[in-house]
Amino acid sequence: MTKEIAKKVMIVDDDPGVLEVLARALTLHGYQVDTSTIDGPALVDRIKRGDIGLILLDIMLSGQDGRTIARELKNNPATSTTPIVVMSANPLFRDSALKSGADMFVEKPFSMQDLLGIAGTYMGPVKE
Amino acid sequence: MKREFSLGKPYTEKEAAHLVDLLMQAPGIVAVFRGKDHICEFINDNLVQLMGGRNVIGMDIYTAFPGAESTLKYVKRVYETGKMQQDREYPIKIDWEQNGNLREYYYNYIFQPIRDEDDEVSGVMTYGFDVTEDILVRRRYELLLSSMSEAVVVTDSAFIITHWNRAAELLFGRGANDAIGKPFLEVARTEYHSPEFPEVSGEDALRMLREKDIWKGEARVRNSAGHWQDVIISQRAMKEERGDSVAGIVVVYYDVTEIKDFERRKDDFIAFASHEFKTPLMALSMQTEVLQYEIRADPQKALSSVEKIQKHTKELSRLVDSLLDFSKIEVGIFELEKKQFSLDKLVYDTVTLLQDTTKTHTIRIEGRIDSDIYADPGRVSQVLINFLTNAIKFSPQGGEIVVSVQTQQRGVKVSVKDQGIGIMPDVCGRLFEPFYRAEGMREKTFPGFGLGLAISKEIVDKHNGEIGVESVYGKGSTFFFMLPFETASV
Repeated sequence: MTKEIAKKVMIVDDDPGVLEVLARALTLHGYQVDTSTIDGPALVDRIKRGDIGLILLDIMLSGQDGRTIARELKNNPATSTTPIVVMSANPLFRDSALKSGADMFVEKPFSMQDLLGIAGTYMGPVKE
Repeated sequence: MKREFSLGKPYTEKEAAHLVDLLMQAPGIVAVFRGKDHICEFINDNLVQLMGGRNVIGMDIYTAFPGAESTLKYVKRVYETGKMQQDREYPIKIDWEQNGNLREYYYNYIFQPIRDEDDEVSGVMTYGFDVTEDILVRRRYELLLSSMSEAVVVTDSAFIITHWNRAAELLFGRGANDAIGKPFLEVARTEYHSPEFPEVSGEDALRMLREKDIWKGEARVRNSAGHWQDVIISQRAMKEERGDSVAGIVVVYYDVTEIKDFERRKDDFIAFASHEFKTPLMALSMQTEVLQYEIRADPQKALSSVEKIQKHTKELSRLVDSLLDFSKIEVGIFELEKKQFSLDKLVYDTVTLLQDTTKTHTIRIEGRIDSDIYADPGRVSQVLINFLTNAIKFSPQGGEIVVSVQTQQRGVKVSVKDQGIGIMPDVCGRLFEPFYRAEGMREKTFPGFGLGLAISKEIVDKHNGEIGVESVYGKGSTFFFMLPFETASV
């Protein structure tokens, strides 16, 4: 039996405040986290490394659309299995986000409980 | 054929004289031309006066009325064909009041053949009457139609276009000459849509008019170049005063392109505003929950969370402020609080503040003015913050941002140059309109209210200054404002 590497949650948001607090909330609960502001191609390369277990992806990024990034990740065999949860303040984006291949849509703002629920669903519970 | 006056008796001399007298005083103009040379046999008082009292009896028509070519033509034609002719709205200049002022009048003429006892045409009688008043009324009504800013199209009962005003020419891109006399449905290409009648064809709209008299609703019309334009249409059947028959329709088009455009921008605004508010709200609420954990588990870090909460709260109040500023502009109560201050220091402080928000951009200050200016420091800083946040936001790859401060001939100029995505030349001017987003921005999802530049413009305008942008698409933009010495310096 091979030993599994602890996977990380990747958070992609262009707002540094949101990025920081989501990362802090998850690390407080024992998750390992990586963050990124933008840049689709670099993100795809980052995910390819295989240590990301969940991507929390914002839609309204400066100059890029989270849905486009989700589509790219899902179309690339190297990254297609990584779960993507798309976050947006606009509930009207729900359908298009799911159509772009995202596994789940969550409306901002959401609570810590919601966040831990999502992380638990896709990453499994954290070992104490 | 012997003409008889009454009761089968021939005219007495007295009766004939009475008849001549009546003709002499007839309203309008009466003239009789005899024979193939059209000799003036009778001219009534009005025509004598019109001729300036000149006696033309016995003269031929060419000598008597030189230059009256239209009259000559009709008299000749009636004499030759024996058929009545009409000359409508013939303009003549007359000094009826004999005060030396020529005034233009319009006459309708009837040219009638006179037949002798053998039923041969022996002369021509002309009767002319003044229609000036009718023409003036009609001209006034045509002027009214052509001056209307709404496009107006009128048809007859067979829906053939009879009126097509100036605004209709502009809306449909088709001249009146090219529209009048043609079928309405063919020329005024319209796509009707309303909640009540989602897909109404032109034919349906006309049929409904017969039943309902009026049809009002949203529509799109297509101009000659094939472009569709949003309008609101009010279509009404014109009914004769007596009876129910439809004499035609009158259609008024209200151009709502701008209103529609504004509505679209407003919808965008609501979507973007919710994003703008929810982002700091998200950070704020999550940070509060983090703080709850930290107080128990990691009190050292709690202080940093409190600072972040304060930062997000400030961000939210800044958003509310910009909305309030905009509503102040809307209702016209946006005021400045001017005082003397150092622009150099303000620029330095503002740049320091914004540099703290980004790690990928370097903000550099170029130049200084070394003297105080007289302006509203809070508002000037607001414009600079807006320029800088835009520069950061629209150069997502990072890079250098240069703030330059210069004294110019007319005032002080501050500009912010970025190496970002740039702006298409045709939208540069529109960026300062409220809620405006450059084409394609919706897709590119740059957040923001779309109000910052509109507010900045108002601030600079209030200082009697200038605001603008120069940009090369794909290579970055330079936003600048200039505050004039008259108001800016002490």
